[in-house]
Amino acid sequence: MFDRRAAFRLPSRIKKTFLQLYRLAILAGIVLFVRQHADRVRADGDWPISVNEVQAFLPEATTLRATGDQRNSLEILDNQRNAIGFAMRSMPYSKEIVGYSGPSDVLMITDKDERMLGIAIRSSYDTPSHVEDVEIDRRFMKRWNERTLTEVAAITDLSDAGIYSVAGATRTSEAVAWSITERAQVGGSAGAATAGPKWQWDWRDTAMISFLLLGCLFAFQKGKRLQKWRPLFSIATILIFGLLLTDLVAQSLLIGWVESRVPWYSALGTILFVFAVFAIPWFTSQPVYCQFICPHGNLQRWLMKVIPAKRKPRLGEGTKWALSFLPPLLLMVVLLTSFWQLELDLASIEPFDAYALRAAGIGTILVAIVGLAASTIIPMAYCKYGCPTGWLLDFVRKRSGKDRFSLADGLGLALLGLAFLLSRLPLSAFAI
Amino acid sequence: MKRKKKAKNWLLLIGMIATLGAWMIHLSQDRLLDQRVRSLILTIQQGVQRYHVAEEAYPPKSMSGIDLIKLLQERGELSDALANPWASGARFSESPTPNGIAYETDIFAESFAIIATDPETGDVLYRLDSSENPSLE
Ligand code: SF4
Repeated sequence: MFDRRAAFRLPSRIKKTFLQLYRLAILAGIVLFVRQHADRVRADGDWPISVNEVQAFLPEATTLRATGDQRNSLEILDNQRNAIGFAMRSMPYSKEIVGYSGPSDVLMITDKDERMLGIAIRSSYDTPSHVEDVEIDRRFMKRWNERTLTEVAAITDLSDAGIYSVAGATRTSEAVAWSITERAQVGGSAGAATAGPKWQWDWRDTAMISFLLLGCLFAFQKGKRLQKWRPLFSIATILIFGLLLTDLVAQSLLIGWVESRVPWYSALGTILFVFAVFAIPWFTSQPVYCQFICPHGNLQRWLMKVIPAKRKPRLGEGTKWALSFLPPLLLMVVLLTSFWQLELDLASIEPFDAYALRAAGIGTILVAIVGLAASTIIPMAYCKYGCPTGWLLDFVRKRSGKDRFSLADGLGLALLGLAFLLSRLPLSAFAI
Repeated sequence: MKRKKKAKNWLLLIGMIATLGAWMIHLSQDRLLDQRVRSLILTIQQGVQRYHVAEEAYPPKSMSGIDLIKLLQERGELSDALANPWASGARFSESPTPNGIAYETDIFAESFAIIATDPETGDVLYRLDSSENPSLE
């Protein structure tokens, strides 16, 4: 008999590869949306630039998009989605430049070659009447037009550059002018000309990479002679990796890197480590970090031996099912916190900062203690039912044997959908 | 029996979602309050600057936010419709004291500081002044 379903069934190797790529794409998509939003917030600061403000200079503007470049500017798009210019605000870069009584936030619009099209004072902490004087002085306001950002950034003497202060509002107009030059310098070639940052590599980086290599050794070399050292390695991860290095992979670290820049120069060892922690399970299906290196995982492995298995209560399948939603739900909390810029220290929802003993907050200590206590009764309780980072690492892991679309894959899609929706909302929706 | 167990698991899941959801809502309300407080300080600061232009000095003595707002409103330097962010948007003029805003100046009224504090804990949230903290960003 002809089996139609079998005819449409993908060969399992293709299916497996497809699912692996799917998971990677989900992770990349989430990273992209979080990053886009963070760029937008950075470019807009506390008072986002609206399209209306830009239309005063470029009437065909319909959309503003964060470029994420060094300039921290917004790209202006027309209704065909063609880039027609850039918008930027002087605050917070100009917050130290005070006129009579406070700094001003200046909107700067350029064409796509970074040639100034106009400026406007968006808001000001300065004396309102002086600000009005500057705003109505067309000569001062138009003086900037046609200059490139590089030329503006290079101004060191206002009168030499043909920019004269406004009579009766000298200090306010000068502060506005210096705010513009200050903003033009952000991410410009003037900054690039200075000596670039130096690569740093110290003993901490070496130690982290050593732990990674040893973890891989234990994961891939199953010889008895080597494996008998595993308990010692496990204790070393707790004492050295956990309590001394304190660089555990955590949401606070990951989201910080995604939102801002990855500190390539200053934390190369940690970056390589984190990259490998995600890449190795994706390529090989071996959860090297969770299985061998994570101090909190290892501590739970020791603690689950405290009470004999016979005397431990068993969780029902249904309870396990319900609790397994907690880690992805916490990832949703992480996303909402990042998009909303909420006053929540992400370190406090995971136990990893507790290893920094003196610097640890009460939240992280509580999560650590409760998780460890639970693991004496329910083996690896925190790993299984509480760890968002572990969930993410497991999500990208290549499955051994056959692979199929699972509940975790659906939840990953839901996380991506949430990130997408949040990234489409205007910043005003987040009270930013 | 099995159905009862199933219901229990769903209840556990819904409970987790509800708890985390309530936590997020609580945090987002804080964020909203924060934004309202900042915009209130900015509005008051503009009123104070207008006063300075008219009188060549800032309001002459330190006072509570309500007194400052009343003073500026009476002089027409602030609008009547200023809402109190800590009292669900009620007008400041109708708000009970103490409120979260305080105004400080020196004896010559040459400087000013507008300080927002949490009305419950007294923690300083924002300080906008004419010397060290000229902006909220
Ligand atoms: S699940 Fe979390 S706590 Fe457990 S080993 Fe992995 S990262 Fe560590």
